[in-house]
Amino acid sequence: MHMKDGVLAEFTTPEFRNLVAQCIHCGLCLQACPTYDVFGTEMDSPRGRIALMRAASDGRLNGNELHQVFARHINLCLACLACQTACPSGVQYARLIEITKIALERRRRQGLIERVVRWIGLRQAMPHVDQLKALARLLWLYQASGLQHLVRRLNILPAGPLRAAEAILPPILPRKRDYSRPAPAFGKRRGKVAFFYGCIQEAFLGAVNEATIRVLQRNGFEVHFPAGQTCCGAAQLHIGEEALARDLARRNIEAFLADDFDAIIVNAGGCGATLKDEYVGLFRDDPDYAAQARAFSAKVKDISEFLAENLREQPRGIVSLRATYADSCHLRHAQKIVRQPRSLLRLIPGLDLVELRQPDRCCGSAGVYNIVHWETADQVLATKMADIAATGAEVIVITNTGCHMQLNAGVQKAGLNARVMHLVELLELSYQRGEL
Amino acid sequence: MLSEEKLRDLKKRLGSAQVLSHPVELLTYETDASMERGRPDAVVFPRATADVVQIVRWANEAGVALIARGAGTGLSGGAVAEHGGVIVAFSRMNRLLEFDEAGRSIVAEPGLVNLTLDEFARSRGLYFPPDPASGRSATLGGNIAENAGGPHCFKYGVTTNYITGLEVVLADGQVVHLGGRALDYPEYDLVGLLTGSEGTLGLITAVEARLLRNTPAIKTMMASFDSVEAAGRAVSAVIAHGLTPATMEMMDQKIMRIIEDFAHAGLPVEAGAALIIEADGYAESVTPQIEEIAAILRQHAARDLRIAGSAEERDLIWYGRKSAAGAMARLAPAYYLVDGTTPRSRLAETLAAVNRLCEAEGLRVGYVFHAGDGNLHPFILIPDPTDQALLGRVWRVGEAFMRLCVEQGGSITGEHGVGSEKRQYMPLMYNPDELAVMVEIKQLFDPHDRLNPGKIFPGNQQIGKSASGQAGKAAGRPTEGAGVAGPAENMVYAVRDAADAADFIRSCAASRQPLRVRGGGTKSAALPALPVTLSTARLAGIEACAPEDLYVTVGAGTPLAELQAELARDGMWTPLVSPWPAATIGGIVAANLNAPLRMRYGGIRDLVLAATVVLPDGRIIRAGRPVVKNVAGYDLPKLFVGSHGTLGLITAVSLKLVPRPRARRSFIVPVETLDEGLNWARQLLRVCLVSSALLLCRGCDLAAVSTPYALIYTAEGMPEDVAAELAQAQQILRAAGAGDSLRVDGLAGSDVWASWLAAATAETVVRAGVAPKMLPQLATALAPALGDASFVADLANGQLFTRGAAVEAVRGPARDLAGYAVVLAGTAADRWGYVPGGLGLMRGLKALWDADGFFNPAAFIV
Ligand SMILES: Cc1cc2nc3c(=O)[nH]c(=O)nc-3n(C[C@H](O)[C@H](O)[C@H](O)COP(=O)(O)OP(=O)(O)OC[C@H]3O[C@@H](n4cnc5c(N)ncnc54)[C@H](O)[C@@H]3O)c2cc1C
Ligand code: SF4
Ligand code: SF4
Repeated sequence: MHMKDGVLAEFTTPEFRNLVAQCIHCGLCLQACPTYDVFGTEMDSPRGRIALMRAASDGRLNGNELHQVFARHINLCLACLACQTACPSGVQYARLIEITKIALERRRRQGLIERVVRWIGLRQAMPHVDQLKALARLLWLYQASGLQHLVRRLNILPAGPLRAAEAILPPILPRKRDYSRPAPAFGKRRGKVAFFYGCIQEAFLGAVNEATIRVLQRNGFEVHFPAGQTCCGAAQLHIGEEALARDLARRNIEAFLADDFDAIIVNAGGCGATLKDEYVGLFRDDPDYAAQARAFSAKVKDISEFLAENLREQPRGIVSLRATYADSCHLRHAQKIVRQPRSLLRLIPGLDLVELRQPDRCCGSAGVYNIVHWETADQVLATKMADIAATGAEVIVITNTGCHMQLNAGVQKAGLNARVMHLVELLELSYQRGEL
Repeated sequence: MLSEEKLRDLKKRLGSAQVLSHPVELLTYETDASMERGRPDAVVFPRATADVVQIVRWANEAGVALIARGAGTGLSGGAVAEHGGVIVAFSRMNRLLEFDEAGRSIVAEPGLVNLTLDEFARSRGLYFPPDPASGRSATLGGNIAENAGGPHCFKYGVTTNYITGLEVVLADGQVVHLGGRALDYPEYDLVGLLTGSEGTLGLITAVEARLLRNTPAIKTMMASFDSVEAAGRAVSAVIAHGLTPATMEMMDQKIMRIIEDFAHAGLPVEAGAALIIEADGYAESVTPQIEEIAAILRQHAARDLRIAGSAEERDLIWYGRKSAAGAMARLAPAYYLVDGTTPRSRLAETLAAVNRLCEAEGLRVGYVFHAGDGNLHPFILIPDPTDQALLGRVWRVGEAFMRLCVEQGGSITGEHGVGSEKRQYMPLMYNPDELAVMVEIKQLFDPHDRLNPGKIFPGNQQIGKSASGQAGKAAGRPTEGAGVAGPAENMVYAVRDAADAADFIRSCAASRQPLRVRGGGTKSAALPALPVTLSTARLAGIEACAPEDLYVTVGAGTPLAELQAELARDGMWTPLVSPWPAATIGGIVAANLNAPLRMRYGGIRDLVLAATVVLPDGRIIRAGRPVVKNVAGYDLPKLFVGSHGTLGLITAVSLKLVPRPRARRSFIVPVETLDEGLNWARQLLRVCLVSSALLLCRGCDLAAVSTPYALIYTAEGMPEDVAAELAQAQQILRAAGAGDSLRVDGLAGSDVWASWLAAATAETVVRAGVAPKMLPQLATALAPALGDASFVADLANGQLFTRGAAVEAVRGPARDLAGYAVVLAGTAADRWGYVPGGLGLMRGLKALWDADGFFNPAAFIV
């Protein structure tokens, strides 16, 4: 086999070669993959993507091919990791796709506009919640003024990323919470936890964070908000901005290890997966810091995981609604949390929980995927919405920010009469009703 | 290489979104799940049958090979474009087109995924029994092309047992519809031939399949043993006790240790082997079944017996078994998963021999296998896939294993197919005549070797235009005036054995002397008399009876009654019933008249494992092997079932055995009107699980029934299952307002059916077939024409038998419902009245081996 020009160093490391060799191309992952579902083509399936990685590693692709066809199919991957769960041979797809994306990203020449947008989004906005909040207020104005209504009615945004971004905009509620002081435990104090409030969640879906805090308080936990915490870095990492992600990780580790908390609570499956699984890897070359990263990651708990073990107050208020639970990919496939959210939901009196046919199928949100690859994401979303519609659910329960926004858009597009709610919002609703 | 121009033409015809040709993208289509590889020149994605026709036409004009692909989970390279060509990927033809709950059947596109179908069916109380371990990705098209099977095949059989119809695009672009949703069409079983043909005979574009009722309960257990031999003896004992567990999976110590290291599933790693056994049926029955099995296992030195008490415990038991592939993958970057079948009783011996081979070659191996059906899968680890010397050792062990399987009467592949991986081993299993016959079939279907070229057949078998279509036949074809003298006129010659028959047939062929074949004479008597008759009367008796391996090989001239009497001594039977006591096995197979009990045990096509056949050109072939799992080459036995003796003389048949049911009970319900009877029958169909007959008859001679019609419902099997099912059936009848029914122990609906048919002497007897869900409609439509004529309607199988009615009166309505009506007895201008979709192919087949039509003329449609 002759080597072509442009073989990338990242693809020839022993680690990468071993990761690739683990795949025995059995194809048992095909049906788990949302993009295979849309296209029905191998190169948009996990097995095909790995075959392409293998070809890249063997030097069978030239530079041009790498940055065009190869990159296209790699970028179409939602990184939902459903294939990793499906694979009987233990292929670590998460690592494979991460290495591949980083390798491609390092060499990519970005257009000016993209560079500006990225600079604003990933460096200026997401790491600075205050700036995101300012943006949120502007957008709130856009919604409250009726302008959004008008824009949607007139259908003036051309099909494309902008329209996609507009569509996932959730209804924004202005809110004010003081994070400089911990929120006290209600009733007998059982411990103190730190809350990771995230960036987009905090700015755009503040109500979810409110509910999270209140549910923790009700269950006897004092909730702290370490200052200096920042965006988890997942979005940066997944598009290959590794250095930036490492910087954010360091800031978070320092902020949360400053005090001795029982747990670090996250309410977004995607952020949780990064905080738990990826921080350690980021400091691979810095063993000293890696130990701190491990200490940090060990404490991170998803809210549903934490509550399932530490629930003191039974939700008593009746919520007579039909609900369905849409697994967050990163909660299910990366964090392996499947049972806990469901058992919490089953505690809510009156709630009729109906399983989806494919509860673990990605909704197409996947970080910024739904903005960049809006066409594919729309198809993935349409499949998801059809599954949801078939259950007749009035509430779609989610556990992740991206899913929240994506499914909000999905409900609108499909014209469903359903609400998207985070698990904790539903719990809080039941608690509130139980008090009456 | 495909020229730009041809490619452009293809894109123009199909639309460029349906064609893939970028060299980088094509890399992802280089392999399936096997180690074979080859880069296609393009991949096309048809969306409908019309697209497939376009593709085939284009391929013929462009002179390009076509390779069908489902999900590419095949393990023998079937979907690999070894020498280039265009892959036809069916991933976008994956719709379930029709789901018929009442008739338990479906129509689907070939790209539908096995598990997707199964899950959908289960949500409606039914399921699709073929369960390959790759089911969550593998497609129906791939399942059919490979005749896939899974752990449940010991009890429920393999894919071919569930496929009733296919739409196929042939190599010349013609679309044919073979079979359909009714059973036993008057045609050669081309559906059976296409199943297992690995994409070499046609492109399957639609599938008609049967489903079963989902079993209400399952109970699982795991037991460990000191050795594989000990576990094997325990399995034999379970079978000898007349029990039929749904699955019996075995793992040896080696694989358990490998699995346990990574999965921590609590496997008994100190033991030499472990068995996972599952019993299914009604809730009332699975516990006693499992307890009885447990007792037998204990008597046979089982230690550490675990019975799952909950779904979680069941999952845990399976978890270990299902982690096998993953565990192996972690040990080495590659492994060779060999697939072969031996008769079940030889498993332990075979395994010990393979162990010795691997030790000698310094290879690491472990086994998981289906202990019930003799299908063995050694996993041989390949620590360095680039080490050619190592690979050489691995292939050597693989080949030695194939030889062992064949020597013991088994097969070189039980479920993965031949593809390109095993084609060089085909001559181990088949003699030159047998191989030549398969090649001739391939040439008939695909004269230009357009479809999946190079697969199945060893390299020295020439296929294609250059090779003469007559090459294979020349060897066996007699020349005029050869050794044997031409037979005298008006003679009946009872052949002594296959060789004798071959001589006799050759001599008839040489003198172009038309020849009638006679078995018991129950059928052939109705055919035009010929001066020369070959009788199978002396081909009688059991050649081999292997109750432990659940098969019997019997001479074609053996009367069924005699065979059953012999088998009964071992507590076995072959679930066949014939109205005529003189009927012989050969005759029954050729005529393919199925009793109602086929709903429980499968039809004749499902019971014939192998057959020795003398072709009209005098060649003797052994079609199939006496093992349930054998997918090496074309499934030839199917061709002779229902061929009415027109394709050759069957001299011996290997039949599947089943333990005699412990209980059999029927009830008879008096019925006043046809509508009432059909209505009740329709409701009863929903509960059928262990039933062996659901009949509505009129004019049957049943004591104690004074109403015009009667419903008969039979259940048989484990006593608890029979009791539970009849109780459910009774409940339905009570709710529907039926009067008191009569319970008869021991009576079988199939016997009622048989005596009714036997009682027809002078009258015309007609058999009509429609899709089962259409049967009530057919009966209603026929009511005026039938008047007072007597009939038996077999509701589960979609068959309606009439006595004394004019065939035309039955045929019209049957055809209107996409069915057929044939004359079983009595005279008629046209006995068949049906033009099979594959008539051209049938004629071609007949002409392959009997160009002059001297062999059993006028016996069938061809
Ligand atoms: C992990 C693993 C476990 C397996 N376990 C089992 C098992 O338990 N039992 C078993 O039997 N097999 C098993 N297999 C083998 C394989 O999965 C089956 O043979 C399966 O039926 C192949 O289906 P597919 O859709 O992947 O077909 P493919 O691999 O795509 O094709 C298989 C063959 O079918 C032909 N074909 C496909 N579609 C059509 C069509 N529409 N018309 C004509 N020809 C067509 C192809 O040309 C090829 O020859 C296993 C494989 C793997 C990887
Ligand atoms: S991560 Fe998701 S989209 Fe990507 S290959 Fe795996 S299953 Fe497909
Ligand atoms: S990723 Fe896993 S499941 Fe998918 S083809 Fe590779 S080994 Fe098979």
